[in-house]
Amino acid sequence: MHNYEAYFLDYHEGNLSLDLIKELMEFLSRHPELREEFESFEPVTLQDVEEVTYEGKDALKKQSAGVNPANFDELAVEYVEGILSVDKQETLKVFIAQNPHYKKELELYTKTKLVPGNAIVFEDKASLKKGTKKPVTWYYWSAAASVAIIVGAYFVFNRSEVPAVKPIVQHILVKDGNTVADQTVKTIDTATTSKNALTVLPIHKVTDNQTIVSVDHNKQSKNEKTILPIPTKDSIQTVIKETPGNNKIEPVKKFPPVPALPEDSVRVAQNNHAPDTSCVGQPLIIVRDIQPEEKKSKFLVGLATLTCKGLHKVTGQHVELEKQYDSDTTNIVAYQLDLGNKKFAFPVKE
Amino acid sequence: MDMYADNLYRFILKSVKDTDKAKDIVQDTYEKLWLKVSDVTSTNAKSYMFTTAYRTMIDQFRRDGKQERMEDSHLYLHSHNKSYSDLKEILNDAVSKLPEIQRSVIMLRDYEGYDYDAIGEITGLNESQVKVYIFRARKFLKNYIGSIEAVI
Repeated sequence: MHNYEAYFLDYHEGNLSLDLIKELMEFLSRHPELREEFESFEPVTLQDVEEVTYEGKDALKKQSAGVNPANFDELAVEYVEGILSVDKQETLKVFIAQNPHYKKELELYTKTKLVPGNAIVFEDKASLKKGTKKPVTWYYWSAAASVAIIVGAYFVFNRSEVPAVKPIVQHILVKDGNTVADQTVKTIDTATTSKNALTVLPIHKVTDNQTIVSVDHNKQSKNEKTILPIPTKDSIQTVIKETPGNNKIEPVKKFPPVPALPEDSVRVAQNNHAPDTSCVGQPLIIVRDIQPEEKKSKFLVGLATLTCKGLHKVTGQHVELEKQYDSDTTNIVAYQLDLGNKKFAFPVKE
Repeated sequence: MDMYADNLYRFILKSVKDTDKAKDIVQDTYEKLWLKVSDVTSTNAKSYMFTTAYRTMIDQFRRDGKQERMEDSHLYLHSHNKSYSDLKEILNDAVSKLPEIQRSVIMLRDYEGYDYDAIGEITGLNESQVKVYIFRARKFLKNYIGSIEAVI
């Protein structure tokens, strides 16, 4: 009983004598539960398991002049290509008449012919004229080096300058303890600015595309109060546009007047103090220091950004200088040079 | 020369699928043409430009690491769930799914009307290879159109 598998195998391989076969059959009649296992020993060869066939045998045979299923596709393509001889075209028609289901196949092949349309047009044909050469690539790669120098210069200057106080007035709505800079009006009150700070730069953070927008402004006399709305997320695209040809961003239309805020609704925090979270839902004026190098860095960073755009356009490589903001204070905390597969971060010193 | 700009742009755009890159390749091609203008005759200018543009595009693919396997196209046969309004749309979609070399040869054949020999010169293939790629492309397009029509 313990070695019946060996007998099963020998039986199927033809290695048992007649006596042993007789004995095995008697054994199976006494143990019918083993019948299924016995039959499973029928020889299985790799050939039974793996049937690999070459489907294109017909195509290997010497081709007859006629059309057959094996060469139909080839002749159909030649027909569409317009290189099928007249004789073969006739033969093809006869074949299709005899095998109607191939008619649909031929129709489908005729539909594969591409027809040019007028939808795709190269618009800037003037740029293709002789003499309107794009600067060569080496120029842009040398410009790439200049990006690094410009960014580097910024950080050198950033470290060497002694901060001087020039106030900026920023109007922020405090909502659930978080500052939301683009959901309220902005009040510029020059009475709170220093004597020399005639130029007040309201800074607005656009959270959806991470752009800092400098709103154009007029010099203001002391005690003059100007009220400007901060564009909302919905209106920002219609109010602000980027001037073609340079990196200056300016408003495309004047902001509509908004009512002045009641004095008792305005609270003031000075010198980068955090907004008072107790006044949830209340407008808040924050007077914070502008470091003098901020203006200088703005020029350098603008130059670096412009250079990156030029590099991206010509080389096709991803080259971008990104600003990274502190989510609470909206201050720039770092600049990141993004080269697609590599990123270099330059943190801004506090 | 302006008359070739649209053809060249269409040929490149359908492969690179990026308007800026396609424009750059067209501009590069014209710049190279102006440099070689004394060697290029009016009869072979178009061929020269397509050859230059095609090779620039291939270089760009290599730089970008964009390599398509020949078998990839077959995967798309069973993965279309888009709705189409006409045959042209189906065909455009099918062409975009062809392997790069098949797409190039079939566009040169149908859009530009080049014969197999000229296509071979532009793409660096011999005539037989061009014929095979066109055959494969048409068969793929035929099957693609057929499978869409079957579900519509």
